[in-house]
Amino acid sequence: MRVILHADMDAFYASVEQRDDPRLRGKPVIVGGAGARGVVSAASYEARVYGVRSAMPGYEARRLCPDGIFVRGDMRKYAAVSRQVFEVFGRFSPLVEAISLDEAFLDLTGTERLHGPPRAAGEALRRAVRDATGLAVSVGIAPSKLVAKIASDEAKPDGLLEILPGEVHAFLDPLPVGRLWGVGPVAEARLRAVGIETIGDLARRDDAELRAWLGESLGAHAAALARGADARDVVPDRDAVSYSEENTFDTDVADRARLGAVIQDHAESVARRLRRDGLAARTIVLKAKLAKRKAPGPRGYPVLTRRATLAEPSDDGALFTREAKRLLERLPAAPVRLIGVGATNLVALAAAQLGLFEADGERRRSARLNRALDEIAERFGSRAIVRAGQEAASRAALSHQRKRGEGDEPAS
Amino acid sequence: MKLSIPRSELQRGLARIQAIVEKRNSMPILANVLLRASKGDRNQLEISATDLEVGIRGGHPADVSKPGSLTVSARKFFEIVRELPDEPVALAATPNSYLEIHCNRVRFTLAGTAAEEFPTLPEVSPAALVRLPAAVVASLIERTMYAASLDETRYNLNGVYFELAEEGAKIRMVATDGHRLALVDRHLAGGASDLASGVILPRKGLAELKRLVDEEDADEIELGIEGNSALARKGEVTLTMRLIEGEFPNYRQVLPKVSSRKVTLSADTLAQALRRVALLSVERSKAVRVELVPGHLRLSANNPDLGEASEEIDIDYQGDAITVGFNARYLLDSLAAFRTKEVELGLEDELSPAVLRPTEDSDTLAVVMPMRL
Repeated sequence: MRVILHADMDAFYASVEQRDDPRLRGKPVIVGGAGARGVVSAASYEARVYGVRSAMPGYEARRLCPDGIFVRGDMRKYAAVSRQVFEVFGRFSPLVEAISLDEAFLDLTGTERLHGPPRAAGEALRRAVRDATGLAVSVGIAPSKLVAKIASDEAKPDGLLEILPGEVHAFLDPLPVGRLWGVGPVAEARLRAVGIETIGDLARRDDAELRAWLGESLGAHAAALARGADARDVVPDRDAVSYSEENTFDTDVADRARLGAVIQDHAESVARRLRRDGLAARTIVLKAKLAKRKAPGPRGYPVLTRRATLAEPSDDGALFTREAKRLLERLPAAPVRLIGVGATNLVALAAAQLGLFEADGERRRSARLNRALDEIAERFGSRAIVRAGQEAASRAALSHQRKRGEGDEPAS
Repeated sequence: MKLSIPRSELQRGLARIQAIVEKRNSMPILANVLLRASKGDRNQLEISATDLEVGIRGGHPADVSKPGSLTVSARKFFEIVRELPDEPVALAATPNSYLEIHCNRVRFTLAGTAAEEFPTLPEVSPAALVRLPAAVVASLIERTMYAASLDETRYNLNGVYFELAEEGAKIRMVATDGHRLALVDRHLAGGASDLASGVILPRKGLAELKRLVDEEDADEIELGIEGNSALARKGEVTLTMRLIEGEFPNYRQVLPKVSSRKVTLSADTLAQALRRVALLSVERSKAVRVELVPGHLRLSANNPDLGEASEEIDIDYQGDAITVGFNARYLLDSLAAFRTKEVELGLEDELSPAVLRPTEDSDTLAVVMPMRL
């Protein structure tokens, strides 16, 4: 039986802000959400009381919580704290799968002799994170990823919940179906309409029924998940299947030159992260969310993606930029509200054999340049040096690393 | 066909063609050896084989009572002859294409195929043959062929580039697989200007040529290159090969002009250390770190699943520290091909190739591209 630990920082960005500015403590702090159409990146527990949630449009957050303190957010600072947190995670297991800057799965199977029973290891991890960063982390421990994640949710704030193998059903059954991975508001509404309110209700239905209500892919999984069956492994970061970075603009952008500059910024950043992790990508993906809504609601904006396969795996930002700009040409010339660049089809470049001929000479030159850029970014920050024409994405560009096994919606 | 031949002579002839016969089943008869007995100005048994790219024909003195020809399985015939007592062997073809083998009181009847169905060997008759010392040819092949590519999709690298310089007074051979390159120059007293220059000799043909020049009685070899084929002759043995058609990459542009950091050390010491450290490298890439620091060359490797290894070798080096990753296999291949006491290793930076030379032979060099660690 496996032992999976899910660790999730409590209101991460907001907690970092409160830690660093005593005036914010005890107050409803909302990170992001400024500007005409900003989205809330994080809300302190004080703000959550008012119903503010992450990923909520800023105007809605302001309506719910007029006294909220809106903070711009500093991704570089959060990334630095995140590194400290993951350094702590790494002490407890070699198998750490980052879901985002503030959330990870650890496979604790077989670590008992080193760290003691799972609950003791979980408490030690929570203490170690607090010692290193002054921040609270909630922990769920269970035989599967699904249950561990729900358990950490239940443990919040600043708690730990361990679900033993025999307790899985008793734990899951009373929870609302919406807590299941992949069951979004639409699927949840559909299930409620047929009288399925809890995970337990779902678990008792048969697969054919569920496929009819939920569609093939979700239907087939939902029942299995509801019964607590989740065999997914913890996939360490080096096995991530894609790296991407995207940003939402304050005002819609149609100007191709401006989009190109932002694309370059994302491409360079994605390439730098690949190099940091010793990876190269075979496929470059350009993602754009059109400004013109097709349906009501936040999901109503059409999302277009275009992908290009490279002749050889690469970690070169200049090449990514070229390819992504070429992909931009294939998008309709309509204004966009979001643009992003992703790299996927990853291969480990950890020990790449260099070649003697042809393109290799050029590749070697760009490898030299990239190494110099990385060193400067390492010492002075990623904004210290940019290529000509590269524009900083206008707001904190939220970066995701999307992992194997995750759905299409990035974890937030 | 009817003849008698000493067993040792027959075995020698059959051994020589074993590597040529086709192992894949594209044309079953290519797995056979062609036997042709002739009488007249020469009493001999001709033993030949071909895979259509490379062919060998050897003449062996024999007591021929009836000329004729037949083909039989090259492998099976060789296995039989190897096990025969060391007595004269009597061979006779039956009308239904069987080969009768008599030796002392041993008797075999081996199924064969009529010689008419055997494809003709690539026929080459260059206008001029150049005599070359066997030792020179051997070192040219030995110190280059290991670097040729085995990847059949890169067919233009599946051989060794052959060119003449200094009006035929210098032969240069170059091989590369795209990751490393081997180059040897040899100066000739007699000159070789009659040979075609700028051609690619196939690996398999060169392997046969190497076997030929390594035979005990080989002092000299005659070589002819013309059109799209090459021919080598040693006494009664003729080797023919079809040249690789294709363009060899511009190797000159990748020969490093300088190596700012050079060290000299024992080739054996380096090879042993590489073999040891590589035991804990990642199996597929064989990546090892080569570090130069004042006074030492340090080799190290690590495999996340196994552990780490490192070794230090004392050297005379006072430059700044540098670390470059290499595939240990490539360095070891060069050291093995050099068969030398001392080797010079030149490094530039972590993205530039290493240059290896035997210290006693400045006309041999190996260029090995690094791995990015």
